[in-house]
Amino acid sequence: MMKKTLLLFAICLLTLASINAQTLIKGKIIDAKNNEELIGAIIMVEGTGTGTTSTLDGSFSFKVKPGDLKIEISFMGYVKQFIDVKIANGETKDIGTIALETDAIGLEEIKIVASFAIDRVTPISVSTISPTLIQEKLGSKEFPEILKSTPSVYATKTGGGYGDGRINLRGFSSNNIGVLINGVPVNDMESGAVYWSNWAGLSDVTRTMQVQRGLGASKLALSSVGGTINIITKSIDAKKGGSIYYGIGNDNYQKTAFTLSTGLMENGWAITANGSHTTGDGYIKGANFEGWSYFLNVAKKINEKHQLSYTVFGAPQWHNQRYYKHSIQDYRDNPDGTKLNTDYGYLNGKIYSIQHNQYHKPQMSVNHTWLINTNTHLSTAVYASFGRGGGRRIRGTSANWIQFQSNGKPYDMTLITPDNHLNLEAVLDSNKASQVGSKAVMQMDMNSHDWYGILSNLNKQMGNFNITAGVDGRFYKGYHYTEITDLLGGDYYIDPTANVNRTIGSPLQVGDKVNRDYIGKVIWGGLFGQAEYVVDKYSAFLSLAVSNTTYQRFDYFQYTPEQGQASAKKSFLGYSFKGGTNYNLNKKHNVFINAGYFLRAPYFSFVFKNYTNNLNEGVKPERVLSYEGGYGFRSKFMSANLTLYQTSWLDKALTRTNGNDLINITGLNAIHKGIELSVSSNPIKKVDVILMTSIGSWKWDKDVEAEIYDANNNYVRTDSVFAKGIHVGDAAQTTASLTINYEVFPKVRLGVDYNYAANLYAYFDIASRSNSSDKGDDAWKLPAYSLFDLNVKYLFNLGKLDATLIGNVDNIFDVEYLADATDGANHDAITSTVFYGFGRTATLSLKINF
Amino acid sequence: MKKLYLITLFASLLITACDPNKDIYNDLDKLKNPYSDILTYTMISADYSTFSSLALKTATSKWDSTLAKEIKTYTSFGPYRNIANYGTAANSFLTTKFVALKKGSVVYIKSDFSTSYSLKTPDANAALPIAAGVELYTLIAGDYTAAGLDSGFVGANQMVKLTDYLKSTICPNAVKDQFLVVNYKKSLTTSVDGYFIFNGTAWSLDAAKSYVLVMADYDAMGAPGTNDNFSSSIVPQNYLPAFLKIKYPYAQTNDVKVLIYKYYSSGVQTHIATYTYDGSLWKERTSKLDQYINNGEAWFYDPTIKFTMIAADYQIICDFVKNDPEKSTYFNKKYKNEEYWFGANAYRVNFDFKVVNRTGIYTIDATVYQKDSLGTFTGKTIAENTITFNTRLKEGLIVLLEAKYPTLQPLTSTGLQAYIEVKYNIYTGFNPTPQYTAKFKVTGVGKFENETYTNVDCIP
Repeated sequence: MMKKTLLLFAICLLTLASINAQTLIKGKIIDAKNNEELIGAIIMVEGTGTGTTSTLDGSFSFKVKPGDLKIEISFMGYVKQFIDVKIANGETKDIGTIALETDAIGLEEIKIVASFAIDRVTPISVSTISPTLIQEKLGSKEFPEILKSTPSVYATKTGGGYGDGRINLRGFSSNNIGVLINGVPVNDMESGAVYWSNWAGLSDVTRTMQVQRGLGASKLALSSVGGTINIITKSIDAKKGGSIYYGIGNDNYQKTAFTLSTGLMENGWAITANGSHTTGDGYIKGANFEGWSYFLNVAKKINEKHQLSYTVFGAPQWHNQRYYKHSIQDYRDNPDGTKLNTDYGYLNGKIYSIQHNQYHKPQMSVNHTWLINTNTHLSTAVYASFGRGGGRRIRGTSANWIQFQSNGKPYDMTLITPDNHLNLEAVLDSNKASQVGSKAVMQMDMNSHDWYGILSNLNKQMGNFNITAGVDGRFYKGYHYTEITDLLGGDYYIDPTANVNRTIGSPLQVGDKVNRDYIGKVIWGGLFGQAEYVVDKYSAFLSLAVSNTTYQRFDYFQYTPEQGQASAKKSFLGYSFKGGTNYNLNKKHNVFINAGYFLRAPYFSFVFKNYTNNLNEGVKPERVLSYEGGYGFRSKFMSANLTLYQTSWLDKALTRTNGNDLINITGLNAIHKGIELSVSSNPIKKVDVILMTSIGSWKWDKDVEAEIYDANNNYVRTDSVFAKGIHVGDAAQTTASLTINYEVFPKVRLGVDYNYAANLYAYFDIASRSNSSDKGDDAWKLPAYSLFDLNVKYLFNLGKLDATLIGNVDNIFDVEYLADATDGANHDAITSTVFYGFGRTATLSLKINF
Repeated sequence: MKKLYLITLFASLLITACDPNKDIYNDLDKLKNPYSDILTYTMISADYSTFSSLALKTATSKWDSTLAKEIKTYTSFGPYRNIANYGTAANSFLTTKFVALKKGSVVYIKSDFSTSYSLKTPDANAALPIAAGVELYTLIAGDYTAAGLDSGFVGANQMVKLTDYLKSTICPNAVKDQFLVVNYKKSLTTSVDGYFIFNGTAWSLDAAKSYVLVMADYDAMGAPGTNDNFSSSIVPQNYLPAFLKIKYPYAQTNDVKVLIYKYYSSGVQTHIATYTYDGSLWKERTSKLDQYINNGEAWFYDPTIKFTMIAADYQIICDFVKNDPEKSTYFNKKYKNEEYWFGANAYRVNFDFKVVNRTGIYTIDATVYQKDSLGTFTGKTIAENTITFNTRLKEGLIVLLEAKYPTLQPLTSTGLQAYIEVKYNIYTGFNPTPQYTAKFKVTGVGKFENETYTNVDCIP
């Protein structure tokens, strides 16, 4: 009996052992178009939970049960593939290299127009953000915050209103960062700023994103002092189908969205449409909002050589904001705590904010791609954008009834209700009782614009050379006027600012223009060219761009038609040249260097004096000089990038007045240098770890002294800016992040992000540092902080449809931290005013594909 | 193993994450409970030198610098050199001296008050305006003409011409609370000394606070009557206390009188001395107490608003009674300037604490009106009416304050608690009517609460 049992047991063991003998499937996944290895593709046995993801060199291997298997290979942005495999017990089958086709048509061409960097070829410091990352980690974050885990980025929500986020790159703010959407520059033509609230729907339609730090790879004459943010939106989906999306979050956050694609139809047409609607109360008090976004892409493949597509997208929104910072003690003393917002009150039971923004900036373009021959193609984009909207402001002799001082304290006359809101009812009563019309009214500062442009790119491959030449033309008109939107109880309003084209003292009504009415016109013409040399081990590039900017101002408020309402035209020449080279030592190591110099035309507000048509004749252009050197390491389990950089921002615009004269002072320089390290690794199966560290030393360079003389060359005085050695403010100079993504099951991913920010000095205006008593004193240094974010993704099937459930919890430990601050008189925590970052927020969303 | 390493790495990061603002919150909490104390500091001569230098640094005119230097010379702030005018200097002085004292601290600076001294006269042949520090000015013929006093003296109802002339020509740079003794002709043959005070806007003859001794006074005192002056052998401090006691028998504690008299010291000088009543004796004021409060950022002179009720103020209370349906019957419809609810009498410029004046009747033609129409006072005992009258007076003062200062904030712009001190008269049959002071705390915007008050017995 014993022997039989033993024998049976032995047979069982043998059988078990033989079943558990390694039955492996392995292979490699690449991009069909450019042969780049695809990291993170999902390889599964269809209908089971067995599978894995591809590693850092695109390879994969996993254990399966023997038999006839159908292997499903999927990766976001690519068309799914199915491979039939027959595998015997104990066999190791290599199914070879599987090339996945991108699921978007025309993506490669757009990437070239947008100068998307290619790994181990383009010699620049770059981070690519995949659509997977956006999908998993964005939640209800502000769009620029998705870049937090890339080097030298400091992104905050500022006041906390919907779309009010901002990003600084290597310590430079948005007017020193080039932002491109599908290769088209979107920085404001007058100020260079980027208002992310114009692009509130961008996250829904972003296909892929790249942050090119430093001068970047763009061939255009861009203001890329800190870097370039290159966003590529969806183009034509190759597959027919669509999706619906529903997400909820804290403070009544709700978002619904849909996508529909016809796919590439037989008649050559393809249409993709996307729409969304988002509302919420906002995390802080009084910051409710509503936004829509739409995206339409219609494409026609005319023949093998020509393709035409029309894209239009926009994100009309309104949102209530928070503008006034407060001292730390004021937040601690207030029952609303860090959510305190003193910019709103209640009217008729509804929130009425004195800081309210509404904007709609549809961007449309017609893109034509002409494959002249296999080596040459011409891409042209003709685009237009019409921005409409502005921000509410309170004006009037008694505007301080519902305003706070810049130090966060109320004025003596500020009217506040017992529960600490602005007392709008009292304003209405006072205005009604006034015998001189409303003393405080609501006005809208309108900053609309019409922008037309053409961007054409001829690219020719000649042997190992890749030559590009192109034209970048822009015509822009900015309409800046303020109109009364609400008399707040009074019968009329008298505008103290004189409009020469109107009788002084006329009683004004809703819709009448006050304070200003001018148009800023900018005509830009640019030419650019690049030569790129690529062989197996080396690549080098040299690019040149030249531009002419012509400014003109039309003022209908301060000048009569007889005086002449048009200013003189003023043109500025700008140019940039840059070059770099990359050397691949072997399959694992590469090194690169790049350097560049550009001269930038001054921004509109420096060209015209004091909001008049008078030209600042002596205005000086700003210049930038930048160098960068880097090293890259690629292996099966790890990829690392190390960059050292130095960027000098020379002659930051600085003006002083002497009577009626404006004096332009040069010499105010800032030097930003640092080290950036990012490492991606796959230390153990199913886990990938991404580590980022960036340490910057961003300082103002030297003291500036300017002797002021009068018209007769008599010495008047010496003006100084004591800038030497002062740390650049408003961006954390040391940042670090650690991301761990864990594939709990093949269709369930868990991610934890740790972010650290330190060496953050408060915002201050360097031009105002004219007092020798605080020479060399840094602005207040905020305490360093650490935050944890958590995300979960679950892929499942709803019948035949694919569904994705994503949950995000940001700042999971509800840490109270200071994200933004304005320096106070004593450069300390007591006199500075701040905005806290948000506490714990959460979103949950469901997307169903059909 | 690798998993364990990752977990410990994350755990260590967790510890650093917890509370980044802890140190700042600790510092702010310490500021909330700052070290504070209340003390009196007596100035020594070295302090006057220090203060003088500080005041010189902030002097913006020659006038200011002259006064600043005099602090060192005279080692006092005196009635002329009011420390309240040296805000910045006082703040620097106190901040350096009392480094540890923070928000809520109060320092009473005790400084020497110039005892009887000779009033400083202008230099010979000096042109107008008078130089800083001049305290006695004698009008000359040309002054009367320039002032529009063609008669050559200041006649009845012509005082305003003199005070206007003081502001426009004689002392245009005057600072608030500054005094000036002016010798002017009352008639073609008589000259008198007048004690004038500048209230910030205009000069006025401060008859209530001052007294200029006349011949009859010196005679009444005995020895001083010989030459109608004091001297080193006839010391004013030996006579004046008794003189004051006789002259002001109904004096109240802390009452102040400025006396101007003649003193012989190689020539007849005009002297000035300030006396205060301590409840039983008149004592020459030898020191002055000025209150400074620290609001957490700097030291500020006691910001209490002080005013003495004038006829118009009593009238405000009368009008309030007239318009209040509950109280309107207590308003005297005949004279329209007195009421019996709170007791305000704008005609006599006092509160009436004589019960007989607030009860009984008055008539307009044939109509008879009851003063005490609700019978609140009639038939009550003195003790009962005393309680009522005093309670009503306090309420009346609040009515006045609410009408006069409806927008007054409880905290001053420097963050200090605001107070108002009101001086008023209560009539209980004496002449002159004694004056009292009540202090009110500002508890809300235009809201007041009584802090100190002197109870006065009413009389039948």
